[in-house]
Amino acid sequence: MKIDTTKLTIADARKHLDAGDFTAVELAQACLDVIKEKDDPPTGGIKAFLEVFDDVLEQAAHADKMIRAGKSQALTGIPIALKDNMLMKGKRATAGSKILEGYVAPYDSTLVAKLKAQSAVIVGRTNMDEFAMGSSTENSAYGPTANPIDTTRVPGGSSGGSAAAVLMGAVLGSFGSDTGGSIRQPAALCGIVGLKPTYGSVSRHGLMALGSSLDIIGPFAKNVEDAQILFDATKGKDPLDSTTVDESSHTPTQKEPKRIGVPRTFLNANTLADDVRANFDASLTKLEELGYELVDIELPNVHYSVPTYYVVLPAEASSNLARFDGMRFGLHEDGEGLLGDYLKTRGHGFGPEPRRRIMIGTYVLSSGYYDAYYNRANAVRRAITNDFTKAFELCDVIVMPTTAGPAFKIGEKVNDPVAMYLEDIFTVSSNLTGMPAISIPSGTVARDGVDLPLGLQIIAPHMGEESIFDVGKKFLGEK
Amino acid sequence: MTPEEIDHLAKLARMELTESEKASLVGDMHNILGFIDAIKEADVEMNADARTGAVSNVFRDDDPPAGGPHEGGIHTDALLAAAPVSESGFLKVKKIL
Repeated sequence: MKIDTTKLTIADARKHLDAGDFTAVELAQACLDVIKEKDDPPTGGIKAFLEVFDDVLEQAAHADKMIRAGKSQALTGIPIALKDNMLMKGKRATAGSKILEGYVAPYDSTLVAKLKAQSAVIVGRTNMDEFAMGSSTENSAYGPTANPIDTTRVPGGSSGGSAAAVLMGAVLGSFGSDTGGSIRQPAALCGIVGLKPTYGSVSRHGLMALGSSLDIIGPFAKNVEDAQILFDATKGKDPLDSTTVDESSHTPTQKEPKRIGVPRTFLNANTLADDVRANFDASLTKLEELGYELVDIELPNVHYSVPTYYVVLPAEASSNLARFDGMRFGLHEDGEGLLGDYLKTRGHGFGPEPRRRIMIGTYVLSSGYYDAYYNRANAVRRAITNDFTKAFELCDVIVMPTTAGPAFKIGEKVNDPVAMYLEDIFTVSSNLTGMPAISIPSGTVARDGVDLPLGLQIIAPHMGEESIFDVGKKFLGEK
Repeated sequence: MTPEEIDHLAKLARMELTESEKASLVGDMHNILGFIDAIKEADVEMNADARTGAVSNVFRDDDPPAGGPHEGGIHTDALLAAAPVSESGFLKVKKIL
């Protein structure tokens, strides 16, 4: 059976694998062929992958054994890619940075342990903005990744490689991390589904930390059903990550979502291009036609989300990145004395965006500024969270555009940090609140004669993923 | 933001900056700090309880089986394999004091 990995879903692959229509080895080979042709040809290429693992077919052969023995699980034999900040024992992981060039992970992240327990086929590690700082994958120390739809444009970031890998059919599903929008924004720019789960619902053990109160691992997939399969396989309380929560610790959200909250004041305050606004309005009309009730909601402090995030995130990042000191792992450069070793190792190992954010983080946490910035930002964060909690008394899910526009050109924003930060305007609030949010494809707008995708974002209360999947599937016409 | 403040922060961050970088950082930091200053206008309650979502403090026992240290030395080789400089089962660093 001919395998078209650009169209094959995880759910369908499961059926075909179990029915013996094709083997996991054949499926893995089809993925490797796509990578050879589209990702890493002699010239050009998408460059979504930093490394394709050398044991892919071996993993697939093992999966075939499980399938033949009647022991297949949801992800057995399914080709998956991991963002370069997720540890897999014996494999390299660099977080897109030179300071970790050559680093080999000594243990499996919980995510990888769960994927291995199902005999998924982990194809390789994907490109990302350095230390997950960025919205375009242009900040990778290993070069940018192109958007498969228009290779002069970015795939989004920081999980751009994982998004591009799914879009081009190099894998059937992938994982990214979302700290300020780094799964949802690339999903929108690539026209696929990207889920940021509830903070604490997926273990961060073995995910290189960026902003520990903001980070979460989540899936990229072609449709909502596949995203749900990937989420279900990887969620759960983990004794190795004390910030993980039990599903049972929450009162369940309403069984069937009916009311959709629209933050009109917030939307009207942001300049969206006419066609982007029209695309979002068309999504609202579609939701009404599907039988949902649209409710206007207010989020009085949400416009402080991006400035608040850019206090909290750099503060936490500067603290988390302090471990890269050249003593225990990664790049080591000699300087004068121990202090000199630190200054040179970190001075030469970090790229421009980590340096900027480490400096901002150091500033907002330093004596004399801690109260005015970090403490105040946390207070604003609580206010934003309260706004969303109150809004969810009036509706079951909230919708917004995922981004203010489609994929921009490579090089367009990379020299303007604040312009890049504003890419996150609709996404950061869900990291500040910890609430789950998904981006699903909502159609396209034309730029320079190319149709570029946009995303609709659906946000739910904590542990409300079921509501998100419900609305998302209906919107995309999935069974 | 003055060049002296940049030097002070870079030293706190244990990160050596190039001269041209310091110059452009003055501009970048000015723009970014100007941007984040918006939070000063927010009308918010300063001393409430800090949380993200439903997380709450988690403790485990100090002693086995739930807690306590693992058998000494079982991870040493794997971890030291990544160390830039090591000797006789120790990380080797320059003089600290």
